[in-house]
Amino acid sequence: MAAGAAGDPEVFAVLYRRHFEAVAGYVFRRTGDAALAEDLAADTFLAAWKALPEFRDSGVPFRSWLLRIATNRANAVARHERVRRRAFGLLARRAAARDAAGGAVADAGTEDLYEALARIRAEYQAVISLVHLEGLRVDQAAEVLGLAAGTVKSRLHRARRALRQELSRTGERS
Amino acid sequence: MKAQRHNNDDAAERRMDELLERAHQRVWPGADRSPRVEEHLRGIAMETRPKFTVSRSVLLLVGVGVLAGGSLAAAVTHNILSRRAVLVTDDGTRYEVELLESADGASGTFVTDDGTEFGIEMIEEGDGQRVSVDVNSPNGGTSTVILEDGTAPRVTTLPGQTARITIGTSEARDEGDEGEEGDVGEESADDSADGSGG
Repeated sequence: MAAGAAGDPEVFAVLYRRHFEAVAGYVFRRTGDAALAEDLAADTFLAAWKALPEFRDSGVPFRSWLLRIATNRANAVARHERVRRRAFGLLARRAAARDAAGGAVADAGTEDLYEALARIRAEYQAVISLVHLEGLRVDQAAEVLGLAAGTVKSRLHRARRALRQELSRTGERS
Repeated sequence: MKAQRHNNDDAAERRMDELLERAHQRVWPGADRSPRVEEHLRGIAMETRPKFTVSRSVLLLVGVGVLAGGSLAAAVTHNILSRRAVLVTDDGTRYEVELLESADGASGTFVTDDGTEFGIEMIEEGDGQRVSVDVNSPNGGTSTVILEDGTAPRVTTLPGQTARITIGTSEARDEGDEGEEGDVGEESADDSADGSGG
């Protein structure tokens, strides 16, 4: 169906309605920011519409392809955020504002997690999100990321170590 | 010392996994649609509809554009009531109107810059097997209904007359029947002017 959606807004609309929540939910669980998640999910579908002719050659299921686009978008935002933090030395506690905007209340521990996640590399955030927050198997995460499963496995190991260190630092700060 | 560090690492690992599990349980709190995407899709749908051109002294051009490919019944049932009609005046000005749904069809009114009103009414007949498009063309002229299969039934009227163009199949088919492309076309493009003017 997705391959046939290229150029057909009605078919694409069906796919968008079917997958929007999944994509928005993925970005939300990764960032904890409902407003950002809605924005990036919308960006993802607008980009997907333009790139649909390329989907046929991607060789992955439609949802994985969408998650790949969403991941790239979220990575770009995450990189920008890390640079901003480095440049201004911010210790922003964004979770409260994020969740107030999104209507979802996060506890202190979850805030710490998002604070720590925001401090690790975007590629690490992505692999942790896909495996631990979305519950994908390593091979499924590899499909989304367009990487070999072995690469994802080793990246996940490094990502977990980085996250654990940041969580410890976050705990010390608070 | 080493054992102490090992214990600390284990505790940190457990805490991390617990927090990740909590985040995993979080459910998307927002809407299941995005207004931005919805609006974009509506825009695309508009852009991809047939474009119309004016020929001779045509006053009104009505885009129906729903009858290509599938059966007329399906087209009428599922598409026609949500269509926009497009009016292009002689000077090339383009007007669009969203046809309002009614019990048995759809209708709308164009008001051009000089205040002239054009009316259009599409009525389903024969259990959705036929569609009549009534065009109120106040100054007279030729009205055309453009179909996606390229056919364009037209009718010429005098000022004040209402032009009726009937589009339909020659024999009834089951709703949802997938007809061959080109199978659906105009049965008639007759001038059944109501004689109220001109």
